[in-house]
Amino acid sequence: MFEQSDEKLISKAMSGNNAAWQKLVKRYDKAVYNYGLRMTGNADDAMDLLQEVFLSVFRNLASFRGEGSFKAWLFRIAHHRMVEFYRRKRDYQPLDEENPLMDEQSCVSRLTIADAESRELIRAMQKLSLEQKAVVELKFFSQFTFEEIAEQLGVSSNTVKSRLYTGLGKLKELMEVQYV
Amino acid sequence: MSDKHELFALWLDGQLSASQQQAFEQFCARDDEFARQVALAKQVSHAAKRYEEQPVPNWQIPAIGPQPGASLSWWRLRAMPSLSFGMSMLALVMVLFRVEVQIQSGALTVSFAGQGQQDEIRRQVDAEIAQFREQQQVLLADYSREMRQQQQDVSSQLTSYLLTASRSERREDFAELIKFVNQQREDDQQFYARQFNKLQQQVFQNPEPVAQENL
Repeated sequence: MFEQSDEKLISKAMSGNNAAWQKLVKRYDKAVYNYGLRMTGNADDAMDLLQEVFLSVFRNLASFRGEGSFKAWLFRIAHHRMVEFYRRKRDYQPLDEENPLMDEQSCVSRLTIADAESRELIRAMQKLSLEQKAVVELKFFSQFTFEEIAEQLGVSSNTVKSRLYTGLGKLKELMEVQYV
Repeated sequence: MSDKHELFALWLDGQLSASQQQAFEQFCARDDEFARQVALAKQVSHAAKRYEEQPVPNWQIPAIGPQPGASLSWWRLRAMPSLSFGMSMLALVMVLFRVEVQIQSGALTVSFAGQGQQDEIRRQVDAEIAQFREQQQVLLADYSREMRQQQQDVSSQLTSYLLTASRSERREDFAELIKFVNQQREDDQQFYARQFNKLQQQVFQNPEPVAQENL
């Protein structure tokens, strides 16, 4: 009821109020951590990503102009860190739709995801390319609109829609294979 | 992008108008692949909604300080330059007048021109001298005690020697005296013997009574 807005917390955090900063981080760390879990399929990688994302936010908070929502800005940073994360892991593998990221270290089965359907979806998502996976994640789990996703990924809205359509086609094949 | 893809995107965003909804449903009825895509999207959306977010493990959130671009409050904007100038002047005055601030035994002392340092040196010198004096007094007391003891020992030895020496001398003197007396007695006996012999010879040579005066 009396929850402070993101803008208020950001303003306080920028003037050095550590409590406001901690509150802001606590408000979004679960979302970022679960984003990392779904994107990497690995709890340790998700934790690394979480720390890198908030370190970037910490360094760049002064550059946040408040033109969009803080959540969208945060997830744009998260996506950039995710791209860097996969570049580090797959230094010689191009990150395009023709080369899906087959992460041998992703271990979805070790995650304690109670719902079988969700678990299977996340497992299938690991076989998508990073760009397709990001669009599926941002659309279905983070509930962003196509315009917001396009802004976060720095591509056109049509590209996002096309990636989602292709990604869903790939997911259909993967999930059919899993259910067979 | 084709119409059906556009409709599919609008449907996902929940922004279909009534006519678009109708067209969308027609596509679903006519196009099996489209219908399967829609069904899959519903399935994925359903699975995503059923996903239970995992709790975040404990992690150390970095502490934040004032950001470079942060707007400063009015008092900081106005007071900071004056305060900064004031502090600089104070530092300058303290250096020029050699101000020293000392906290000792719960007392705060402010001194100028190095007086505090001199006082401190004096205090330390006094303390050192007092310590030296105490040490010297202890040493002197020890020395005098040793001297006294030594003197007593020497006196005792001298007394003992004197007693022994006088006793021996006395013994020797008595021995000399007895020897002298014995010698004297022997000489007297010889004298009297000679006198008797002489008298005896006179008696035998002259049978007349010897005058009383010749005796």
